[in-house]
Amino acid sequence: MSGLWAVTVREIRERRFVLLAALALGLLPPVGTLVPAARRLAGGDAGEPLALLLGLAFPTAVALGLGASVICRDVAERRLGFYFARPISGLALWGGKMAAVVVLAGASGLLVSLPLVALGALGFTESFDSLLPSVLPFAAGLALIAAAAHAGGTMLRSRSGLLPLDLVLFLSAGFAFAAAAWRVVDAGAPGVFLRVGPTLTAGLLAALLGAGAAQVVFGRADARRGHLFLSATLWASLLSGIAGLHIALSWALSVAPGDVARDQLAGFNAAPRGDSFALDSGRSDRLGYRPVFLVNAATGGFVRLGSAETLSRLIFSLDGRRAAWIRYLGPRPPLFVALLDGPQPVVSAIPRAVGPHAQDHRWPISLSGDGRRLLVGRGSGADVLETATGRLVAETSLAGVSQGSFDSANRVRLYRRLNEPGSRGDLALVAWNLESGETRETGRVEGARTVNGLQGNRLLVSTWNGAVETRDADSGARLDTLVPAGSSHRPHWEGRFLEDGRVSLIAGDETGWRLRVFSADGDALADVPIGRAVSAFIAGESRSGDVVVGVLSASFVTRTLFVDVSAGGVRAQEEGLLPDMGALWSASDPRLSPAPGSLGTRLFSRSDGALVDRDPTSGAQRILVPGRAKREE
Amino acid sequence: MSAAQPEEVPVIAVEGLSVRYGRTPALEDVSLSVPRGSIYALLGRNGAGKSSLVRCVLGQQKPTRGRARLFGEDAWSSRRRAMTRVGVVPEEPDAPPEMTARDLAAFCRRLYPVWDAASVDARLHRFGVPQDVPFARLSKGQKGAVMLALCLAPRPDVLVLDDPTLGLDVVARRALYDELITDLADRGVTVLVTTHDLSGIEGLASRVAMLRGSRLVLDEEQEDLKTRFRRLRPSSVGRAHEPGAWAPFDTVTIRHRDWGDEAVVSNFDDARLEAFRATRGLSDVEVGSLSLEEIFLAVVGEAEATS
Repeated sequence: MSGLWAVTVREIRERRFVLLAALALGLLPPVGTLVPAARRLAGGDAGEPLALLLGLAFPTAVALGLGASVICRDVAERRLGFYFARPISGLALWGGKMAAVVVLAGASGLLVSLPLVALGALGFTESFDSLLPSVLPFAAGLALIAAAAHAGGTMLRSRSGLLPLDLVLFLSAGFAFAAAAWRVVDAGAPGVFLRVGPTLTAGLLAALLGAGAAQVVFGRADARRGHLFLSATLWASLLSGIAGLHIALSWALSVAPGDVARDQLAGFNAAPRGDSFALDSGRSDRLGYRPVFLVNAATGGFVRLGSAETLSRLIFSLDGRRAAWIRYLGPRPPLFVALLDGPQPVVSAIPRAVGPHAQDHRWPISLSGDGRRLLVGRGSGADVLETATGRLVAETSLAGVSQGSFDSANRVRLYRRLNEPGSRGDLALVAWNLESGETRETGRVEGARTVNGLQGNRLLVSTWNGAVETRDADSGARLDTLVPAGSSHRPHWEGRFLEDGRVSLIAGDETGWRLRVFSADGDALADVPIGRAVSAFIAGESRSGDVVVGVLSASFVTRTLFVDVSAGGVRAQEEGLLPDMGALWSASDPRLSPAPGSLGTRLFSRSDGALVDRDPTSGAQRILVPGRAKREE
Repeated sequence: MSAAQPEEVPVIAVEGLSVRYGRTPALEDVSLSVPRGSIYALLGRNGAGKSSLVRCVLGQQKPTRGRARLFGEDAWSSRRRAMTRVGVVPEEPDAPPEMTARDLAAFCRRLYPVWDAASVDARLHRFGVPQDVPFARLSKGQKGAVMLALCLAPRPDVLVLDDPTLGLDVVARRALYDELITDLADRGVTVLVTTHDLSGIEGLASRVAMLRGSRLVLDEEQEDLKTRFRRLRPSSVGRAHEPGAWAPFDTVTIRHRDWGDEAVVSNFDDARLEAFRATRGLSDVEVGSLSLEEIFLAVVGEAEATS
């Protein structure tokens, strides 16, 4: 320990000019602010940006410069023998010199900022404590830079035949790491890198420090032997670390639906028809990789689409045979379509990227009924593409498109938010003829309403400010007010059409919630109490006229009610089950709601975490994704 | 009984030591031992492997084959512990150039269990070394003096001097040897010294080893060496270069002079001299002693030139 301390102190003493230089440089910003010319040049506030720049650049330069010379120069000038002729261990020598570099670099960063800190220009004098947690990462960063500079300096100064080999191994390690990075990007799992980033950085630091230590401990004053040990340790560590990273990624990225923990309620979303559903895994123990799966419930076949935060809403076609989504990757996010006819979903990229405008969840995407065409909204309009070829079928430059759906393969209905003065965010209803390219405003709905459902392209139901109304789908004219604004029983979630045109909604107050059903003409048909709840929502019809209502109580106990709207009462009730909320998060296309008896009305999240397909007639449950208890076994 | 007594263990021992740099051999199968209390001169031409051997002995370099021992322990693996008892003056003074003699002394004293600060001051004063001048700005002799002062301050049991007189003027060289004689001889310090200053070391070294072409060709007491290496000048030998002309002596060099022939032999003794006289019928053979430099030239220099 005395050797380590002696070397550290010696190095700091010898290079104390660095600290003086830092202090002198630190005085430049405050002095600069006093010089009118300098102040004008930097827009009147020259000090702070310069201080921040110096505060980062100066210690980095110190770490680089000293790291590349503090031992390499001694070796190259044959001066390391001075230390080895004394009772100092190689480890103490390496540790002492590196510690001195980190201390000098860190202290120089502090000193270069000190004058402005003292003047309060950087604004953190009062919250200096908040900087303390950054000290360790800052020191580790400086150590990383210093150790990397040392490794590079050693290789270059040794002039040994190992240098070309170093270059080859450096490129190999770079390619191998880039390949790992690409796997993560390709899997849509950037979060994995955030999770493993600290470990990778620590591993890199350990490899660099270990390599330097091996050089000094085993190479001692012999430059070539030291280079050999440094290179052998560094490249062996890095390449095996990268190999380990690939293995870890293989494990993480191969996560299956059965491996994920689904603690979130909105975890699945079924196609309106067919056997397919999307599963947002919610949480994963595999390096935090949280992919969305597209699953065939009948066969169990699945594909991973990438992590949820990198994907747009996933949209199904009405026939349930196609799904589409955008992956937010790079400046031109790619579009994807999945064919759902087979036992396993088949994903292909639509050979056309969308522009940066699509990186916004507000813009809609919607598939035509047969899934062959895709509507992609953007801030300044919308495009319609062929999903198979990516061919642009039509484009419009209408601004503010917030929702859209296909009436037919050649006709699209757009809902456009108007931001004209005094419009209160009125919604314009626009018919878009894809053959002629013509767009025509057919009507307007006053207020910032959203369209929650379409019935036969004739009626729409909208919700705004607590009022639920049916309107003419073309003109926007109000037909009936199902719940007036300001009603004591304010609606929770939006009103939705049932298959036969009736409108259902959940409404209530603190005393209790109710399922209310209206005819298309606004006549109240049923008013079924469902008790007090934190949340309740309609998940479609298990069969025509049999509404599925999911209820989450204050104690987070889940249950599902099966309500016979004709009889006006609860037909059955299942504790511990919660249905699919997918229809609620497909709001960009108001037509999308599960057909009666479709998978979307049969999928339930069980309180043990399992995802089950419940037979609407017998109530028998088929487990699609095992719950926690099963996995713990 | 336990292991050998410390007195019986050579302070420095080298066993089958080989060092190669790539395909170039620097030392091949060298074995030697330095007895406690001796002044051991390791001689050889430039590139003979002296410095490689010293680095191996100091645990600074790992040999390709064989090993070096210090105080009976492996020099490579026990270097740090051994260095508390070893003082080193390297071939090139390698102290950090920015440090003054005072800084260097302050740095070194933290590392040793014993440190004679007064001796450092006294030596530096005696050699006229300014204590506040950076090491890089000192003269070659002053640098050597600083290194010597630093290496003697911890009162080492062993002193390793790797060509310490290289580049020193006569006065500095003389002062260095005076230090060795006056300070070390009485304390029984073992000294391993490599040098090209053969006349300077001649009066000091108790034992001499010579390296030639990376191999050890000679390792014995200086006294014995001088006894067996002699110059013979017979009145006449006739066909001096013919095989057996100088029997029973082993000749190292044979020269023709104006006045006759001259040979350096490596196995001189009185019995052989009598036999030589009797065989040749020589009445007078002039027998001369050789200096260490002459022996070195005979063994290393001329032999290499001949080969």
